[in-house]
Amino acid sequence: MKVKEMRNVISHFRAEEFIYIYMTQPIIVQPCTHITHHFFNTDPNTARHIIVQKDAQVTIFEYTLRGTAQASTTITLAEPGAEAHIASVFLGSSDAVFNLNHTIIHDAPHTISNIQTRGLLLDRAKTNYKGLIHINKTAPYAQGYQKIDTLVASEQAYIDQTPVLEIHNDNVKCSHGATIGHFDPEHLFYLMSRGMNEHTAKQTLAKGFLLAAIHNTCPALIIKTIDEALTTV
Amino acid sequence: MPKKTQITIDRSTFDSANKDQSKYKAKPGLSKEVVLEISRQKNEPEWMLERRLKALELYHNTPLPSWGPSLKDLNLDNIIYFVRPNTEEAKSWDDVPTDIRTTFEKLGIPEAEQKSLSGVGAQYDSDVIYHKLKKEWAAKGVIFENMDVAVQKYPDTVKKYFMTSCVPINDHKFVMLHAAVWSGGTFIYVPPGVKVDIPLQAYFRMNAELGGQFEHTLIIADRNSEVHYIEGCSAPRFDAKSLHAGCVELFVHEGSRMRYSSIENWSKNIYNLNTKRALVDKNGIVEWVNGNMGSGTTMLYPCSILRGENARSESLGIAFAGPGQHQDTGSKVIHAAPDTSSVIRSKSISAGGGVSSYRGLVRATPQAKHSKSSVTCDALLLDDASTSNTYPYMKIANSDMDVAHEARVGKIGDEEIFYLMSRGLSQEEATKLVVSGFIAPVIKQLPLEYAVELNRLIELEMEGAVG
Repeated sequence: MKVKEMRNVISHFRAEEFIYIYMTQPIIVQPCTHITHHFFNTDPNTARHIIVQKDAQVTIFEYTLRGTAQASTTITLAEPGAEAHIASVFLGSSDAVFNLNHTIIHDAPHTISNIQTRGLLLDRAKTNYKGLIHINKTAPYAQGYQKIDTLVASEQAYIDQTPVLEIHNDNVKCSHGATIGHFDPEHLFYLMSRGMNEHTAKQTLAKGFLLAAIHNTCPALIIKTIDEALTTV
Repeated sequence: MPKKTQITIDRSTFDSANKDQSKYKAKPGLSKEVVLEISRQKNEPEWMLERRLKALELYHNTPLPSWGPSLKDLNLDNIIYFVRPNTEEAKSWDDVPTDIRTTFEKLGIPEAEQKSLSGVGAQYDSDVIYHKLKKEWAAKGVIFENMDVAVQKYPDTVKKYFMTSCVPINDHKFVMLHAAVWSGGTFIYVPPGVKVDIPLQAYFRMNAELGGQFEHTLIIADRNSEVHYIEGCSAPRFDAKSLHAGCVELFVHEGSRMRYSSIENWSKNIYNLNTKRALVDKNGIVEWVNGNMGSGTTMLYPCSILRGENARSESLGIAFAGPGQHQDTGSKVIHAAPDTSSVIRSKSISAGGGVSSYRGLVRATPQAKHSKSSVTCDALLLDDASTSNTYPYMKIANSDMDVAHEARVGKIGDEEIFYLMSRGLSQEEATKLVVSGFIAPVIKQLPLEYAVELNRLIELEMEGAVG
């Protein structure tokens, strides 16, 4: 399925500010095309594959906000100059279980990838996350960056995260980082000393933490969903 | 055609074998008869034989691991699991047979012992052939013994600690194998409050073709003691594939500190499938310093279990994967108590088509409140025929822990090489200088004074100043 013909094969679930896409086959992003996808992981099992051609750019915003979700996103940077950027947010509450995978394969020279994932775990939520940047021998001058940050806000929550690099070419730049932490007591103290109670202070910090990953560009519906989920912080 | 870099480590000292004059050599392959014969020749107590046989049964019922480097060329039925050199354990180098003594002299062991060690053990194939502890440390109650002898001399202590709580015999397939056929190795006990301020060293040398080595190292640092142990190893180069499946168990009791330095330099026909683990009690500190330069395939992940409050683990490692080598190494830490901390720093170099993988784990239980962990991995690829992989696993089950991991992979910049060459260095000299700078933070911690293998790394450093 080629992006320029996408409108003909999309299932319209809701027609608001953006379009819901139900993917049954790979999306091929044609040369010099820039697209932005917003994906909602609500199904127990979702897999998506995107192939990016010459000088095309894909930006993906991914939201995993409730229930049980398993989502796998694979992007192949197939031709020179292809770029992929993933900004992913997960918010687990209650007994949510998320299995998330991001895979980016660099298969051509001068390709760029960037994966930024942030998550907040409340209650008894569990998340398994694996991010993979794979750079083939055919991809000199590739650049790959990956960062995952998880805030664990409950004693019963559990995070299993693995950012993986597989590099088969020496003429590349590639790095990754991963952090797991909790609410900084100094930040909480700062907000509470300005009159917020602890609950509101945590909500404020959590919201700022998550929205930083998606650069405040997500739809209003997402902000509303995050606000609802944060009431249990 | 991928371009390969010529940086390698000179192995001429290690690669030649002595003539095989072993007094006993088991038939190839692993069977109950081999295990019974090992135990009979060592005159072991019944409990040790039972443990061996139980491990053998587990080994036969366990498949090979399905992850990591390929083990398809390792023919476990071809390995000789017990080879005894034609000599007994000596307390003086003069009593060691000439050919064996010459081997260890070339490796620098007697010289190092004289200058800068408090005790030395030397193992040749399956037996310890030299062992000596300086009198001043023996007088303070330090025990530094051949593991086979320790089973006889200190049965209660060995029975309590040997493959019970640290590395149990059912841990994984190659631990099961080790538990069935282990031979030789080191037993160290440091009494409460004793600080052994000069290192103890053991050196393990394989000689027989197809002979495997399965030494067991058990070190117990009692309360508030300190000890530094250095391990070196090598083997001659043969065509047939052989195996090293040793085991190291460290018990770092309350308030004690232990540094374990290891320079592994097996020949490229060796599969190095070693297991190392430390149990660290309250206020204890364990430091791992690892240099992996040899073997064809390595799977080695030293593990610290921080089970006491305020326990600490530091791990510093370097791996060099040259042509035909696959180094799959890393570090594991399990935080199982509050206020524990761990630091892992790993550097790897891949050249000439080598594959270097960092595989590590940071795990935290709900009890590990106020704990911290930091992991840093840097990988240098010296040519486009080589590969670098990073697999850092983080499994955290509490809300009051800080974990950070970062990794960078890249090559030596063209600008850096140009800068150095414009100052008169050749390209090879420039590359070696940059590489030595890359590994310098680890090299500074390694026991350069008395491990000849490390001197090879100095060849990577330029002599004289750069103007």
